[in-house]
Amino acid sequence: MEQEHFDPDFKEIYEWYIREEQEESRKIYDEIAPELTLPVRRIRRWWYPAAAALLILVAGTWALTSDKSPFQSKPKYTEAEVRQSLEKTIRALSICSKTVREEFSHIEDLSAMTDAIKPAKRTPAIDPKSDSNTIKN
Amino acid sequence: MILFSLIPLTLSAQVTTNTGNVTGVNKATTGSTSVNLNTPGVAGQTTTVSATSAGQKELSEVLTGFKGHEYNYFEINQEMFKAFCELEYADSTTIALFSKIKSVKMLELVRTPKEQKLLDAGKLDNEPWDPQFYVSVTSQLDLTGYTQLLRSKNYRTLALFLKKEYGPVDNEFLLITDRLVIDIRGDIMIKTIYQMEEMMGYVQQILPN
Repeated sequence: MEQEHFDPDFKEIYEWYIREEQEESRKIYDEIAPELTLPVRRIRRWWYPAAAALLILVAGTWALTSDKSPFQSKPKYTEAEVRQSLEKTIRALSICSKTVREEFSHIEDLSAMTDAIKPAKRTPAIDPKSDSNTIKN
Repeated sequence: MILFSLIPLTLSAQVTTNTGNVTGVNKATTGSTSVNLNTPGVAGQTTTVSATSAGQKELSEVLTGFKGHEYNYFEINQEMFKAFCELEYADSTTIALFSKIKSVKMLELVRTPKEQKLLDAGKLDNEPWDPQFYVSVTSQLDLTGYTQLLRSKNYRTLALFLKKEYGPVDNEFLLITDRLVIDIRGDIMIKTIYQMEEMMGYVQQILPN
């Protein structure tokens, strides 16, 4: 059988041609690749925003509905708690007021005491003889 | 009624009555000062109780330090007073008072069943009387910044009434007796304290059953 012989120059040109074709094909593929893999890439692109949105949705729902949420506008105290606290307050304030009144009642001149407690400006005594005390219309 | 005058720490004013002495408006100072409380004991005997008038503890620390079933302690904060103002039956007078109060604290020595029985029968005055609670509170409390408005004693009770100013519209009134401690803080004056009993009586009346 006769062996086929190629010209070495031709072989080199042929191999160069093959390489160029492969490179050109790769370039073309790279250009159209985003379009070819669009669904997969879209999912990957929106994965984090979607997860963030979902997280916000869950947190928002919790904030608006949970009893433990700090944004919940439900009253802090039950009616019974308020009532009980109010009764205790009434008792405490009444006892305090009563005791203070009783103890201060031992002081005859209470005005002197209150003046001492509140050292406000003393109104100068009105001199009936002075004209400056007369109210002029 | 017999009143007494204790050793004043720094006396800025004193009011004397015909019935006895009521030490008024003393500026409490820091430091450890020994105070003798000449208290009537059992069967009219006079006993002397020594106490240190100024301690180192804050009021809350002193009040919460009394533990056990023989003590009742509660504290109402400003949030609760806001809740009072939002009650549908709260009128303008009540709201005006409660909106100015920041906190109320009360520590009370609970009466024993025997004491309560005697109190109900009007015979408690004949029973032995122990001022230890008063002494214990006043000896622990840091009196820095407090102004003494009243300190008095009659045949069965001790009373110390103090005031502390935190600002122009923020005062604290502290009442210490032989059975209880009441602390009221807010935009209140002594005149307000005077009127509280009457006002609370009214609030009690408008409370729905």
